[in-house]
Amino acid sequence: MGAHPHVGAGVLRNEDPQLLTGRAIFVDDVHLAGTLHAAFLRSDFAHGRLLSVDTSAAKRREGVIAVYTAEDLGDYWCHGPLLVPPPPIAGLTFNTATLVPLARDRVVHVGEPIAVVVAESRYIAEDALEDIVVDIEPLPVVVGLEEALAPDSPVIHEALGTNVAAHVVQQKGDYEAARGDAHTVVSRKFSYDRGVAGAIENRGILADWNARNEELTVWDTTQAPIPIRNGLAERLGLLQSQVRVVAPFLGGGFGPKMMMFYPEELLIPWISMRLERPVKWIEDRAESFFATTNERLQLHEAELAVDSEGRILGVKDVFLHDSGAYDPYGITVPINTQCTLLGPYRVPNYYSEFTAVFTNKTIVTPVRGAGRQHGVFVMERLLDFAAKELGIDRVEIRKRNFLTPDEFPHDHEILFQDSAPLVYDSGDYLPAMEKAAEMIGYRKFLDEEQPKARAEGRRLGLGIVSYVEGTGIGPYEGARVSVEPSGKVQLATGVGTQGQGHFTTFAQIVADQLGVDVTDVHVVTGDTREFSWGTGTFASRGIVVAGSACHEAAIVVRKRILSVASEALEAAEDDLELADGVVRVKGSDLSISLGELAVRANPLRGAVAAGAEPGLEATSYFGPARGTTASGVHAMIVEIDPETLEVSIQRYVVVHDCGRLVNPVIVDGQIHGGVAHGIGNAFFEELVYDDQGQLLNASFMDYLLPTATDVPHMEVAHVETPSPLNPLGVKGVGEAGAIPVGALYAQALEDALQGAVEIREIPLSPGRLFDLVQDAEADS
Amino acid sequence: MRVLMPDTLEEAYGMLAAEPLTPVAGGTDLLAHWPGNHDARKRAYLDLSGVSGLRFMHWGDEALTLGGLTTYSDVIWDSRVVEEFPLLADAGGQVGSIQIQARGTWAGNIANGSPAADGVPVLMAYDAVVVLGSEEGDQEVLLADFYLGYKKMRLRAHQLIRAIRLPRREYDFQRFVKVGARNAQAITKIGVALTRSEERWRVVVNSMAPTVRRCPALEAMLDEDRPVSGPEDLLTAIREDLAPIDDIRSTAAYREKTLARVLYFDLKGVCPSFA
Ligand SMILES: Cc1cc2nc3c(=O)[nH]c(=O)nc-3n(C[C@H](O)[C@H](O)[C@H](O)COP(=O)(O)OP(=O)(O)OC[C@H]3O[C@@H](n4cnc5c(N)ncnc54)[C@H](O)[C@@H]3O)c2cc1C
Repeated sequence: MGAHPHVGAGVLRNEDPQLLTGRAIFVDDVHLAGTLHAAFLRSDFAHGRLLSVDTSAAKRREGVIAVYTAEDLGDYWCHGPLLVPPPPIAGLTFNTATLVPLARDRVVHVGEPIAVVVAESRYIAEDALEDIVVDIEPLPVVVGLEEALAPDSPVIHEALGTNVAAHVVQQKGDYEAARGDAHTVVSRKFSYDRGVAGAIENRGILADWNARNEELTVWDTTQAPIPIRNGLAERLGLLQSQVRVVAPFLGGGFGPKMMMFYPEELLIPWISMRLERPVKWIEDRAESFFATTNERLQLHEAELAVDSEGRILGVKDVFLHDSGAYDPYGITVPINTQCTLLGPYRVPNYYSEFTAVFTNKTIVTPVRGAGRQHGVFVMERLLDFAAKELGIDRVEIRKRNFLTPDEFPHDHEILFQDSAPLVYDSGDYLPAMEKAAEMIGYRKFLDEEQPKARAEGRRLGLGIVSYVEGTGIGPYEGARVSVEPSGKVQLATGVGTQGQGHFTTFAQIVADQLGVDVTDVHVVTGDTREFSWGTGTFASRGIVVAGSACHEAAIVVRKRILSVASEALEAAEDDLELADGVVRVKGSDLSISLGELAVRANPLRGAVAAGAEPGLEATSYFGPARGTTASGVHAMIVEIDPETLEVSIQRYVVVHDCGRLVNPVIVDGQIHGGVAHGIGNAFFEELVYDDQGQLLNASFMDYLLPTATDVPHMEVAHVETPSPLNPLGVKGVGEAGAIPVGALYAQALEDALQGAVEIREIPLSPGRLFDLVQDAEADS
Repeated sequence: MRVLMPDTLEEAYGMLAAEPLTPVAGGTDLLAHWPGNHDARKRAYLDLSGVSGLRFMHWGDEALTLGGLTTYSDVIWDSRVVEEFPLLADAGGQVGSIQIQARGTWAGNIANGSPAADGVPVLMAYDAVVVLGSEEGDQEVLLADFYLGYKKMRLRAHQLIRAIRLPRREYDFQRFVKVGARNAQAITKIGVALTRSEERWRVVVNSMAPTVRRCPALEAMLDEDRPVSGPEDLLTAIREDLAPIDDIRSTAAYREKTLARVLYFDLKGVCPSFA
């Protein structure tokens, strides 16, 4: 065994036996005696004045326990928190409109909750929804982004007097001057639309107020149980210690389950306290399309100024961002776009301006990638067009502009979503590009395979794009490591878990320090009673921030183990080694197990030295100054069916760099899932709204997720450029796979269509390709 | 909500004659439409699953007869059907997913009346006859004459689809093409079933008109060997036969032109009149 037998190894996941045998607990698996069930009455209108809500008939229905409207909430009705205040950017405009628990005088999007029915069963609750009479006077609806800014547009939040949610300019250098020196300037308009997260498990909450010991327990499908616990305690007038939030296994998070303080999240616990009974609400799929946040459209007008060799002199990007009806998550998504656009490239001059607008649609908050794909799309497309205009190979133009290892840390001189300066910690982009080109057989494809296929009437195309992903942001996370008398290790941390493999990767990190097997480290996450401090799982930060805290805590425990063992074995600490669950005196068979040491460290009789702490236990926190920058290159070969314009992916290559790999199998899994999300975004999924703000395809019948038959086998390779910002050298990877796929499709399809069309939008589909081809034919 | 559960066809006919009931076969259409259908819970249902003798495949000298409860899976896994009526297996295998194929019935597909039904085109291209049963006895309707308009059909409230009869013939060409938005679990954007028997063509298209329908103008072009030099030459006949619309799944233009391409390239090696 080397120094780190577990970190770096593709060990099997500790959580899989539970998950694969159906024994893992999800929120809806928690059954408490006497549970009541809630159902929500939601607005059918995208915008309207709420004139009256008559719940009397619903209340009379047998089995209905209570019905609440905004009026019934009394003081509990108020605007929710602004979850992420915007970074301190000079000249920034930010208008806040945060969520309300139930609509009071206005509804601002379809699906906004108006009333909640609590009944003995969900069936009764749903039936009772039909007894409620709501009178809404429809108001003109704001759907389009440009329309939202028109002077005669209806205003969604009257108090603000405008539909502008935010206006932000960030710049570096002097773009206009750079433009003046340019050999070539390419400018284009782009549109990039995203969609729902599509987690298998919808949201769900079960709240149980125990009036006897005055404790509230909330099972919640949240990615951030601790902030939810803190917020609920405050809103409900309880001590934090009276509230326990448990996020058990989640069937996918992907962003919309972050610390949202959704209306349902605030109401179900409040109702449980009033009725003194457990209350459960499980979101159904149709509801989820309206009631769970998603990500949508941005419209960009961008230009790239290059010299005659294709070297980037500057980039200018002005865009509109759809915030939806409220903006509780601040400007996280558009600022991610703004910061990710720069990619792995040296961009001396940058001007970026965005306007986020309110529309009468479901709220936009981060979904895997969180605005990054929009930025990557714009930059990669601009590079493709510049390469074409200058007659430079598309791989070559990227290589010429990559930052080189000696340029790190690289300061982009603007602020990132976490309010820290956008400084890349480390990176080495050229080898990843070369490796991807080699794996996909770039030259051979262009020189031989593609021409041969074309001669046979087949349309094959190749795409190859790069991107970076800001990951691993603060503020901090913590971990507590304790060795139990059994010799097994308990590891508790505050981040929730939604399939990322925390039970394994965190265990690997600790196992290496303590010389135990990875299966002997029992990880507890997502229960505020087990660990009380931290924020949550989002922004590709789990391994970086919580993983580093696990590492630090394990180091402290290791020291304690050695010190107790040194006394027990009467040997100097330097002469001891930890392996296989025992401490041994090197070169002898003198040893003592971790279990025995744990017992020794917690004596039941006798005196201990002053100041001594019991147990082999330590809690540590890790807070990075700023985020780590992961990166990657994706390449693929597609074939377009000339009859139907259906697209099949022939090969898909990923070369990824997320620093040191803790578990390569888990990392590959994260990438596979991300790419699947990206494929859905690029070619299948689209939220189709009509001009009344009605979502026309709110079901998986017409909102198309890619299925197993649409997602190809992926060939994944890694480059490991360690991060200097944390002791493990790791970077985040959760979102990476999803980020460059739109840009990749656009380039590959253009290539397959032999430049007949220029693609400046996502999502695509066979139908959309058909329109583009028809338009191009009509033009020529 | 009431559900009646007859054991025999006679019982079922009697119940249907007594009051308006919605038959339930596999339930895969009914349940999928449930959330949006406000009166669904107020209706009374007739559960056919317990009715004996409704799920069968009978080979006669002249015809193959499918029962009113026969599922896609029943057909897909039967090698004799696959051999003699391969399009049934082709189309059945592209309906939804394996779970849907196991529950969904051919009769339910017909009676649901969706213009996008994938089972109907191939049945129609085989000249299927729908056998409607009731207390008054059987009535037979050619599937090609069954639909009257969007979700309107020659099926009266007291009748059940008891069986579907397919004449046994020699076919020298048969093909089914489904263009969906993804590889599986996708509603058809364009579907076409083609058969040729005794020099006569059947061209049946779904998702391009208010009902699944045969295309007389296209059939005539093929029967009369009219020269076709490219997909465009088929557009006039397509427009005569069909009336595609723009919807969230696709556009009329995509549907028309893609159908023309599919037909042209699929028939190019088959019809000498196609250049
Ligand atoms: C996930 C999913 C995917 C699907 N994919 C496809 C697809 O790819 N292609 C496709 O064509 N369809 C698809 N469907 C629709 C459906 O599965 C088929 O139309 C199926 O054939 C319906 O059969 P059923 O037995 O389930 O009908 P049911 O839902 O039981 O009934 C449908 C209708 O027919 C009536 N009915 C049923 N049996 C009779 C009878 N014997 N006599 C008179 N009336 C009767 C019912 O009253 C009802 O109106 C899909 C459905 C789902 C849920």
